[in-house]
Amino acid sequence: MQESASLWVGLGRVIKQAVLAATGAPWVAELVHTLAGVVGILSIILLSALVLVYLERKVCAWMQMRLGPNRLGPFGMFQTIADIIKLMTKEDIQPAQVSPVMWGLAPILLFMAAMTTYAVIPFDAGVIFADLNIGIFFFVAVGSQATLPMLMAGWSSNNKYAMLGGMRTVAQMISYEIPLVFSLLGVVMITGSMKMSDIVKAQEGLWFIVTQPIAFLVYLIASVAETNRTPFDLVEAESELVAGPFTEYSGMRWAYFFLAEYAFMVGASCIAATLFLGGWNGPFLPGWIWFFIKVAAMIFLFMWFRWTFPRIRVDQLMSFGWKVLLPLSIVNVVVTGIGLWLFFPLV
Amino acid sequence: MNQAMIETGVVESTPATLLADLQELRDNASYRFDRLLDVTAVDRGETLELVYRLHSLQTNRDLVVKASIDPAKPEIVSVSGLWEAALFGEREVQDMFGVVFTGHPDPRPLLAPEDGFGFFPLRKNYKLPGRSGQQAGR
Amino acid sequence: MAQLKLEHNGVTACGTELYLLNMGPQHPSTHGVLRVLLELDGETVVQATPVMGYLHRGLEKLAEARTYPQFIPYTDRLDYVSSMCNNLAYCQTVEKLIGAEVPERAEYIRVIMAELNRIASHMLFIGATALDLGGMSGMMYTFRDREYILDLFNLASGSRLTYSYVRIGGVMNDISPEFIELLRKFLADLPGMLTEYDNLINGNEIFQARLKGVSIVPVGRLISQGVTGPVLRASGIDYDLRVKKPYGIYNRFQFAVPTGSVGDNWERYLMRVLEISESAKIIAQALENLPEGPVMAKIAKVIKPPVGEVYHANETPRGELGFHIVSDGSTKPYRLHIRRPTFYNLGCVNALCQGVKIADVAAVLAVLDPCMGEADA
Repeated sequence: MQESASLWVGLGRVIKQAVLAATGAPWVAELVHTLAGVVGILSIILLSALVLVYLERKVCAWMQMRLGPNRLGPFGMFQTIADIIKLMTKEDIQPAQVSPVMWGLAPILLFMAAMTTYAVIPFDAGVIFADLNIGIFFFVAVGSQATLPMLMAGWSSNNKYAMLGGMRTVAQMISYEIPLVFSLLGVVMITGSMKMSDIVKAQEGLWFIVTQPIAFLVYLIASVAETNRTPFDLVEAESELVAGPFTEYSGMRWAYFFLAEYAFMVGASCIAATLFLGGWNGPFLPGWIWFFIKVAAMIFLFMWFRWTFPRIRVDQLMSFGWKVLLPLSIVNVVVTGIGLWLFFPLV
Repeated sequence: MNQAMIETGVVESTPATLLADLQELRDNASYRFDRLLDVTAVDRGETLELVYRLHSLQTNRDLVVKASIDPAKPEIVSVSGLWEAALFGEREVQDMFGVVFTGHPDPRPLLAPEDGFGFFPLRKNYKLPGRSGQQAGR
Repeated sequence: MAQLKLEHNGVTACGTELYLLNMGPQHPSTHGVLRVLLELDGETVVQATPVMGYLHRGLEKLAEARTYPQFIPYTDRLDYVSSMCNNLAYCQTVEKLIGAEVPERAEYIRVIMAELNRIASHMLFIGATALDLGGMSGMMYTFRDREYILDLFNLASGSRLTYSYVRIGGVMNDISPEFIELLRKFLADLPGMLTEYDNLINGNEIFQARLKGVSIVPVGRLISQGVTGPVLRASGIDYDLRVKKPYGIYNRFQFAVPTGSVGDNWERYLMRVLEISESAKIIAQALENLPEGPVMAKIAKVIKPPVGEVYHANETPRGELGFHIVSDGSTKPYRLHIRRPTFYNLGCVNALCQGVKIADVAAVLAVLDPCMGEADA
């Protein structure tokens, strides 16, 4: 396998050689290289959250014919920094009636799940933290861990609104995970492998959105439901449950939930870009810039949905997920299978 | 109570016959006052006059039924069995005038706090305290 | 612990233990300070009890210490979203009591202002409903368009929300040619605004799925509860005071009264949307026939009505607003009672909410279009 020409792989190599030259121990160089990867992922998440909070408000304002933040810094760019400073300096209030260990753990576990999914996202050729053989399966498995911390938050808050929100979360996320997985199955079947780099390589000629349009639609809807964005945001439906499972959290703890929500949204967009939009393939520009453009387009789509649609009701959500999306995704798998068998016989 | 009285638009009733009169007005095919628009009261000094405002959707006619009770012992039968609108209207009169509506299924205060105001605001013997009760200017 | 049963109050749900959820009085979705006590079986509402009185300001008692003209600003603050209509109802009641005649120009201006206020109130209703159902952008569009109407009112009366513009015997002051020109421009732009709402809000499938077929109550029950206004008309009862008991000069205008058939939340919503176009027609007709002349009748400086009592009702955006005035011959009313539409409309909250999900409670409260300033007085 030829060495990738990506900028970031080169950077990693330079760091490794520098540490090797400094210490002479290969395992230290490996450790630093890995840590550099972790720092890279964390910085992507935090930076993207920073930018996305601001961008969401600007896009929302643009769709509602307003201006959005425009006081702090040019075009209001420093608004998020002000928000972060405010959140960090807030008093850490723990309500008396919560169950302390679970209540404290919930945001941390949620953020951990969000962060870990980034380990298998291919930002560029070779720029992937861990190119596992079960790449996409790892993403789905770790991503589905998000359900439990939400339920923990809702239950341990000892608050009826929070508990209702927590229960809605479990129902919603479990219902939409299955169509999500089935929609990704079609891509895996065509590629023949769950490895992320293989999937991206298989799209060098034709993006999978062309051969799997239904799967893309199902994935889009299911991922909006998984990330609790409108029209599926009844988990934190502001006008009914105030804030759902996050009602009793304030300050930095609430910021964790917020960060995790954005991390999941970016993660879902990255998967869509990888599996359906060709990953880092593209002419002229370096791969990671193409990846960035595709992810940005998906994120804009998420924001567009949020600011256009009203909220769906919980029983309508369940019936839609089980009676429409799931059969559709299963049919897609069957049709893909038939198509593969007709055009690419195994024997 | 007869057709002539109804034509004038105001029917004087008594607390004893109120329920029967209103039932007649609601159910009788020629009257058919199927809507109770409003329940209210006026403190006339010696008596407390209850005013029931009826309306008929079919004939588009209005009617006012009045019944006077003794302010010292303000009790009258509840008409919430005939029209559900009385459920709220009578609770308001109860808060404001202290009238007890016997047979009302849910006689909790509506506009007053849970244990009532402590006084009956719209009675004439209650004077608004402070500057609100005095006439501003002329 | 309560017995676990599958059926409560005629509502069949999951048969879990009932729990009490308190919505409000501070809540992003109850319109104003309304508290709703929900008894829930899972996500299904078994009993909904509205609790009001958080905005009670004692207007009826205050009226006994104010002269008749002094009470007009209080009527502004009843249903603060449609002040012109409240003013109109009160002033017409007093005019009935004293037997005053309002000049022609003032009558036409009153109609224009009342109908403009109806449009503004319904726009706010559309926006608030969209917001309660999660489509926040819908609210921004309707509020932006409502600003045009508020600018018009600002031009005419000096205020944006509580006008005290309609006075006993006429209106406060005349409208300028600038007002008329701006009004014509607004009427010309209105169909475009309504198309925008159709595309963004009404036509949205999720919005319709949230409202259609929800909270259908037998119309006999609503009549018995004293419900008036668009909520009653949605269930098929064609009763609008402007047509059945015309007040002022409403009998001179041609307009339709939207009436529903099914009586679900969608039709309760749709009635008000359709009423906007009808109000625009009325305003256009009034503008066409606007005569010249004075805008205030010759009323005595000190109003001393004869002894007697009078009741007069108007059709406000929320229903039938009536004033019952008992006069003892002095300058202040002996008793002033306000028949408030929201007060009686809230009586149907339980009937509408039984058997629906929590999310629908927000929708029900939204389409009832309550205004707590009016419910509590």
